[in-house]
Amino acid sequence: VRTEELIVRLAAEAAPVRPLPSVASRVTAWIGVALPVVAAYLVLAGPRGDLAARAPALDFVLALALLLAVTILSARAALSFGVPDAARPAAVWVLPAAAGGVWAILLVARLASDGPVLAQLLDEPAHAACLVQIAAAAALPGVVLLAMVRRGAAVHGTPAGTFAALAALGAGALGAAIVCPIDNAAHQITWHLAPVGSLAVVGAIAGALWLDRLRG
Amino acid sequence: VTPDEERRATDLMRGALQGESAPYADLLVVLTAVTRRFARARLGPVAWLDDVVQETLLTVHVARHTYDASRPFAPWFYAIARSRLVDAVRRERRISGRELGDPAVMKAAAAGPSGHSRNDIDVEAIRRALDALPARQRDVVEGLKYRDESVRDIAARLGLTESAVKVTAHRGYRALKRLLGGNRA
Repeated sequence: VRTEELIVRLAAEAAPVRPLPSVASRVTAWIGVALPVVAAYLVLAGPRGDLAARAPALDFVLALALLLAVTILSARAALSFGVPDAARPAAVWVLPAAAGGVWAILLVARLASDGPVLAQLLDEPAHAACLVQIAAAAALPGVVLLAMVRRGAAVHGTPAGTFAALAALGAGALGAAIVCPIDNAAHQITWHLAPVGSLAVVGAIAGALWLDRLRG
Repeated sequence: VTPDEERRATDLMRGALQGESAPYADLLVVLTAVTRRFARARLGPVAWLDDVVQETLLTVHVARHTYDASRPFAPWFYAIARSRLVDAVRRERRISGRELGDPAVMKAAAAGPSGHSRNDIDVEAIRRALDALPARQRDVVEGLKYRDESVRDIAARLGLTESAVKVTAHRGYRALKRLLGGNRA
């Protein structure tokens, strides 16, 4: 096909196009999906028994705030990466990464202050329920967000998929933070932080394989 | 994109989004020149420069619903052009590697249509060339040409839009043409 012929063919297919809604309105729509899922998780699993006592604690509030930031900012980043933009501000991906990074650093700092790091991690008993609950709570919001990203035109599938997974997993971890009564850093790192980080890799792979539907 | 091209492209794109084919055709002509310039500056005078141009135009077409008319056109367009350029470079390397690595394809391509009976060449060379395509391109081309599937059926089966199937088929045909030793467009 010669380029001139292609132009004629594409121009002949011109039709009114319904523009994709803005990133902000799509983030809001996604929160409308994720919020009820997290609420259902809290209802089903039940909040931790000492929630009222823990609620005023600075570290607890800070962790919730950071997870909320990871969730919302990552959703924004995922949807932003779903639209071509060579002038995308770095803040779009730096902010969610920073929120996640601060959450991780605070946990590691707490672990270090609690005693020998390696010994604590090795002695940490298995609490796979937290991992399963985070993944389960993230599943539906994650699939919905990936589908929303895919409705755009992601030319960078990997970051779009990574941030979509982080957003969904952040929502799951937010729910787990309210449900799980175990505050020690080793548990939080092994069964909350690590699953979020490792499952985000699944999002990256899904993004690379599935999100750039324009790639041949 | 120069400031003049940016203003013109933005106006034309607004018309295109409303379904007007004349401004859309004008826009694609402008983008053809811009993409060719952009790609040549980065790749030099490669023979497959027009592949980058055509794939950029196809992506602009499929992705035009993602353009926000209240924002500048150039960043949206260059993100597409750059990604299609990177994809084209990767694909060329991959296809070149397969061509060089498969003596049968080389032999079939070198022999050309006059080297054998027409049926021998078509079946053997096309089969091997098809095998050298990326999986999705092969699936789409085989679906359209061998299995008589419609674009709509393939789109539904692979979870793609119909436009994406057409884009993939277009790329597959071009790759086949190269693998079979045809002229470049």
